[in-house]
Amino acid sequence: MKLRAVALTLSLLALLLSAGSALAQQPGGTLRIAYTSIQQLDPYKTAANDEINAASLVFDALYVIGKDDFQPVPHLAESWRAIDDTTWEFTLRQGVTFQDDNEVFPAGQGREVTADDVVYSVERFLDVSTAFTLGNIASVEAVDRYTVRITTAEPDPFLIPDSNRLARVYIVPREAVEHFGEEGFARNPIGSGPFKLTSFVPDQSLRFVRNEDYWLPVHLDGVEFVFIPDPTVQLIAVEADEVDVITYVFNIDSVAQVEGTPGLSLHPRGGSYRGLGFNVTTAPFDEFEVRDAISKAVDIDAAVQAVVAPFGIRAYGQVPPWVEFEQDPTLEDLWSFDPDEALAILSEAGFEPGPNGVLQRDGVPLSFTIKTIAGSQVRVLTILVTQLQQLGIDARLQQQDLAVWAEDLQTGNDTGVFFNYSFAGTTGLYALFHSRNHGITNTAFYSNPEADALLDLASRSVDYEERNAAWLEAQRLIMADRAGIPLYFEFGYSIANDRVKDWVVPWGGLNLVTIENNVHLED
Amino acid sequence: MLLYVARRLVSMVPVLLGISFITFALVTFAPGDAIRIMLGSETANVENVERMRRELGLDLPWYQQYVRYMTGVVQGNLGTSIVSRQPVAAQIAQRFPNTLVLTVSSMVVALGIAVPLGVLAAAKHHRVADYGAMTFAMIGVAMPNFWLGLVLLIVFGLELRWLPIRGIGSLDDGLWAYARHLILPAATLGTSLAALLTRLTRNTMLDVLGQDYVRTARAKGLRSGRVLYHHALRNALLPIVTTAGLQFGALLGGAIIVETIFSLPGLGLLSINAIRARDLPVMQGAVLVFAVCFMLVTLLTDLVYAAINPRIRYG
Repeated sequence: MKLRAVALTLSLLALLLSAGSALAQQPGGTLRIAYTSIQQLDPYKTAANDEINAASLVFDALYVIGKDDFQPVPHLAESWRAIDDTTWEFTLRQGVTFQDDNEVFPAGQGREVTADDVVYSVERFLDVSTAFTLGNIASVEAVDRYTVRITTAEPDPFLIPDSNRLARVYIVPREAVEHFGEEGFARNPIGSGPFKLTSFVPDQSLRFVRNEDYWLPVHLDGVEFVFIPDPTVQLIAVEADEVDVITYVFNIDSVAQVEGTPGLSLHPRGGSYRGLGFNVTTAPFDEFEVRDAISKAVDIDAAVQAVVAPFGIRAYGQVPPWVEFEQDPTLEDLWSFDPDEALAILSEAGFEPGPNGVLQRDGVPLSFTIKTIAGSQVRVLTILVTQLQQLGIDARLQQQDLAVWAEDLQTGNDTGVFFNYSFAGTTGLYALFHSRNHGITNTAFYSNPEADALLDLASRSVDYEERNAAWLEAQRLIMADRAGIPLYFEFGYSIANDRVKDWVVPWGGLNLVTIENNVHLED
Repeated sequence: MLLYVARRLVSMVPVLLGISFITFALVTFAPGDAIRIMLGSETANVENVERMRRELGLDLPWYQQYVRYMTGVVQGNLGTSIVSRQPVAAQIAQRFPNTLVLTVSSMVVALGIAVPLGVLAAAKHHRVADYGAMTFAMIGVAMPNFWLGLVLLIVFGLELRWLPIRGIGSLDDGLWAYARHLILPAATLGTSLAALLTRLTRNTMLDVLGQDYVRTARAKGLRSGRVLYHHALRNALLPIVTTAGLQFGALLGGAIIVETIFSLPGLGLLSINAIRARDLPVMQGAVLVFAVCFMLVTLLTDLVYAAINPRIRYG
């Protein structure tokens, strides 16, 4: 009898234990993410990755940029379709509610997200967003409770695939914005996202807890953002297991430093275009021959190989490999390293060596300072500048603070040659070279009516083949014209420890819980 | 005494006005502005950014902007950050205590090392302790903050794992939990000041120890410890206090680097980020708070004089 009681107790105990371990095996944990600075959490009012990452936990967008091929993946919208060239119709997921247990929605009373919320959000975005442009929206209307129609003034094929446009419109509840006011909403965000904000003191503490009512099961218990402003210390912190993830690293020196560290993984995705720009309105760079000669005077391959590889690749154009456009293999033929020819071209253009060995024309030396900001390009450009000097071109390099550099470029000042970059994936070519953007992002002040027309045509083509062809043709014209010299594409990375599973490198907001992936921690 | 303090406080007003004007002019006439940085991003909404420029009055001539800003300041409104669009006063209020605690504890570290070490060096003039103290002083002054900070962080935070590498503790978790976060930053920031003050303490002590009244005290048969601390140090303290007070400004400056390395959300970090983004209202606010602190510390130093040396009287 006694023995049986013991056996029963033991088996009960075993049952409890196994249940306990089954619970422990369930994915979960609190993900710790390093960040540099977060001052506010309204996703419409910031271009800072950290702030958008944090805000994206609280809010849902209609779709997310998926983990493969940068394709839009349904999120709050179950599906969408083009009704005609200018009208998109989105069908919303039913039964999704805004987070409750807060000042706006009492516990258990989270209101359902409907088409009206999408209309309100798009209108608010058009009104207050400074960081991103939605484009020329003619109207946005709720057809019924779960159907929204967005009409653009002109055919606009980039509206959805470009990660910087409709993908940035997180759906916000009108009540919350009106209750807290614009300033207060940025400190008390309420959305329909997978995590609720539990504490926020700017640059001090920022914690989120799982939204139990989310329309997908959320694996993580919570997310903690860890304030580490210094990039070097961020690396130390991920090595010391103080944080789990550094979401996006732009600096390939940091990437090289942690590569091969046991327990840490590099997750590559996307990156940036880096090149040389000419202010084509200042002498002598208004002459094609001078720009062409400079492009032939430098050994870009060697410099990129020495400094950037394997964390980047040589660029022959501006269109990066991670956007919807195809790579144009013929671009490679546009560029060559041929110092002798460079000298011959310059000589034909009237440049002859002066008394001090510097090439000059009519007593004016061929002399310029390349303005740049910090980054791997400083070392690449140092190599190129040395090569230019060897040919008798008085080239120098000057590293500037971002604010000074931006003003210098935008006002055209004395900048003849400058470092030029682009983080915007899809429409970088348009930003850097369309004449509409003179003095804003087209700091080359480049105008080419033919290229403008092609870019405009592509921006209105709903047919992919036509769009792709026009875009690549524009790229080819601009490159053949030497409006700039493409140098390389530098890759971007997440650095995460190996316990983090199902991680997707953010491409405009974090993808922690989507229909494709569900991030969790594993021992 | 009270009248003196009041007079000193009133005299701060024109100085602050001057400082605010100089900061404003420096930022306004220096190249680069916050709006241009925003526009430089390829995705920016140019129309909305331009509208924001108008709403914030950044399109006005500089003197109108200055008058607008000062009108706000007089009414206790430090303005709104251009970048985060959050009130500047709240941002400063939240960070200022961290910087204050950091600088004060660095001062405690500096004085805690410098005074005993300097006295020891003077007492053991030309002996091993003296040379040891002077070597410390030399290294301490020569070592840059950012380097020392990273070394301490890697040794005590990453390798030995004795101390946290980042952030601030919460007093709710007990005094130790709070203090241990401060040890590395305070040591980093306090070291160079400690080095400077060690040297100064030693030299002043040597001067004082050579005075007649010290010899008299010794001749009376007083114990050397009493002579050292009661007779000599008290008289040597004045220049130490003066220097420590003036160096408080350097501590505030050093806080920028130390706060960055140890992820301390303080005023230094706030101002460096504001400078990078050309966020004028935040910069202005931070500089004003720094200036007020510095002036208050100078005043405090003068008052401490009177406490140390009863012959000094303010009236």
